[in-house]
Amino acid sequence: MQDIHPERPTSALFIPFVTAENHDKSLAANEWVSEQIAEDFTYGGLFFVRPEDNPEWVRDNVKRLGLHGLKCYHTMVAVDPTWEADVETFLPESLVKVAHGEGLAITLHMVKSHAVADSANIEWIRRSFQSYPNMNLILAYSARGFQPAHNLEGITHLVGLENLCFDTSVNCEPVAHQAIIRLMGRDRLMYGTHLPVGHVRDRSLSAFGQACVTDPGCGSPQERRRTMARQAACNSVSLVRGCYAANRKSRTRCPTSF
Amino acid sequence: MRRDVAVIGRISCCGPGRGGLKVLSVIGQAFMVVFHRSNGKVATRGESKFSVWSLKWHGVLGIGVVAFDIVGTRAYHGLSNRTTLPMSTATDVDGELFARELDSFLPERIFDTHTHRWRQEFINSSVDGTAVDMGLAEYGSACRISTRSGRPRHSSFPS
Repeated sequence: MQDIHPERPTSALFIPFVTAENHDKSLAANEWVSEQIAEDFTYGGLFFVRPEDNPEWVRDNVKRLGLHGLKCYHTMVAVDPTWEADVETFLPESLVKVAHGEGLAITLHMVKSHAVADSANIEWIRRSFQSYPNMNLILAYSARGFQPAHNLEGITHLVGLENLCFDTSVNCEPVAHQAIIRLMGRDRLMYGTHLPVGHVRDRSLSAFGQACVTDPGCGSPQERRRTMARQAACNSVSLVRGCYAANRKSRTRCPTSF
Repeated sequence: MRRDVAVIGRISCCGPGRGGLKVLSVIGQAFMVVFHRSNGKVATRGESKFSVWSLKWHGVLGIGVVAFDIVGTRAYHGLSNRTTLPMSTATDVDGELFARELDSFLPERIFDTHTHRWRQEFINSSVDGTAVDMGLAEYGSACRISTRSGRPRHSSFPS
């Protein structure tokens, strides 16, 4: 990342993660992230939630650990395939209500093949904001718009929703960012790196109505690091190009600063 | 047209390959440009079987270049001895790209809104080339966080 934004003070929102077989360690993961950010107030952290979590238990622990939002993940639900899971199966309404009550952020990795253009996802987002407008919903990967056509189609249905944001992480498609900037406004798009998952995944590529993510395979550590830099560079360049395209006359600054 | 080709070419050159890959990428781009131009000439005379393609040449060119980049990368790495490739995180190409495309655009301070932190015990695996546990120290190491004094630092998140 020194190659991407050198000599710039950088802070981050830390997202804990556990795999499905380690779901019983989620509290330990959350406590560890809390410890990591405790010494620097410029950092934030999320609380990894499972669909079976008691909402009051979640509320108490988020406060105790000084975290700033919730992180849900589709692999925590017993649906096959989890890539087609409805949002409410891995993020129950009771947890959304907690986020609303405490003004927390929720970073949502939407699934389903059409991402934000899927009618069920659109319906969930609109319905949730209608009932719980005080939550701060972040649609990860620029609404998972690895196929930008999904953003052009789906985000039009989300225009006007307050407290709805997007992060650019891992998305290397300029038009995906451009769609958000044009339809929602540039203050809704936040920068994200997805570090260190870029070590595992290469860049995303839209093709034939869908998208794929190239896999760098089992390279050496040096190649892994190089892949990460490449992915981040693609992400940054795509963000820059999206901003240019959205505002050609007046060169905008990158929309994410704190 | 030329501008788009150039931009795509620059992104392509950000790839993990070195000289060999760049040669492959340039060949791929040249091939796609020749394809487009020859197809365009034929299409003008109304004899092309790929007239739809000519209407969407940006997409064809983009997919072709990136696909060639990926295939070239795989082929190049497959023919190389992975363990001895003298690759570093940054190359001169990256530095030039940063200076030209990003430096004046980025804000003075940056907040990364999406980064995953874990310990090996939470995921039962590790990623080659990274630390086993990915915490604050590892993130700082990856980002080489600047601690220049005199700059206000604050978070946009409520606590």
